[in-house]
Amino acid sequence: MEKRKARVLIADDEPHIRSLISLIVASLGAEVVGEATDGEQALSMYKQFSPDMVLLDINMPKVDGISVLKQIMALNPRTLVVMLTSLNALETVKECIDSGAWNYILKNTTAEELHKTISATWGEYMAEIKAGRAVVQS
Amino acid sequence: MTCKHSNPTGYIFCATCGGALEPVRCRCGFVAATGDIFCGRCGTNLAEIAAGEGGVVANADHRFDLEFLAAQAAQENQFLESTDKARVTQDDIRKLLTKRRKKF
Repeated sequence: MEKRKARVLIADDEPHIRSLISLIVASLGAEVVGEATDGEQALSMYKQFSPDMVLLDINMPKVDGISVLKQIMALNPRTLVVMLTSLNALETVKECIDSGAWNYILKNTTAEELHKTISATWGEYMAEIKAGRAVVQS
Repeated sequence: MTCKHSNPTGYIFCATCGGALEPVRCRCGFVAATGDIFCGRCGTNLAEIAAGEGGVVANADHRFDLEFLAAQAAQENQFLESTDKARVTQDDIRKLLTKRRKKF
């Protein structure tokens, strides 16, 4: 069976964050299929590209990240959604995890720490795939 | 009160000029002098306080009610502490996820 790169969608309204995440994702050997600048575009790109992983900001124009997360989970609960935000309220974290987010990464940290956390999340997800508990969508 | 109007017993403010007939404690903790219409510390209309909260009459010798201020400070600290507790770090999230990790 031919292996293909995992596809990643990045949704964040801040261009510098998108660029940084893009570099991190590329260094992990995955392919960035789209970069959304608001929640509406994120949903549209999700439907268009069916990515394996979505890195999702919460505070975004038009539709917020939590609503996007819920809609993605309704469309395909197997999608790996990782919240990437500066919001550190416990209630928000719980809501995202309960809604199906695989991880919740605080982005108000150093680029190095961000790389480390995303890499670790990616590693966990790949382990799930190997264990047969998660699949790379075809 | 400066208008010399004779008010019936039980009145806290003069029915004619609005001046306080008894010392009133403002929301900021300051105890206004008899006859004051506005708080000398923060400028709040004392008649509005009396109308909204039933008018807290205090001893004019104690311009600041320390007990009241201490209770207010404790309440604020409690709020701040509860707000702090509701904030999480990446380590807290990691621990939370370990417990509640979604299973595929």
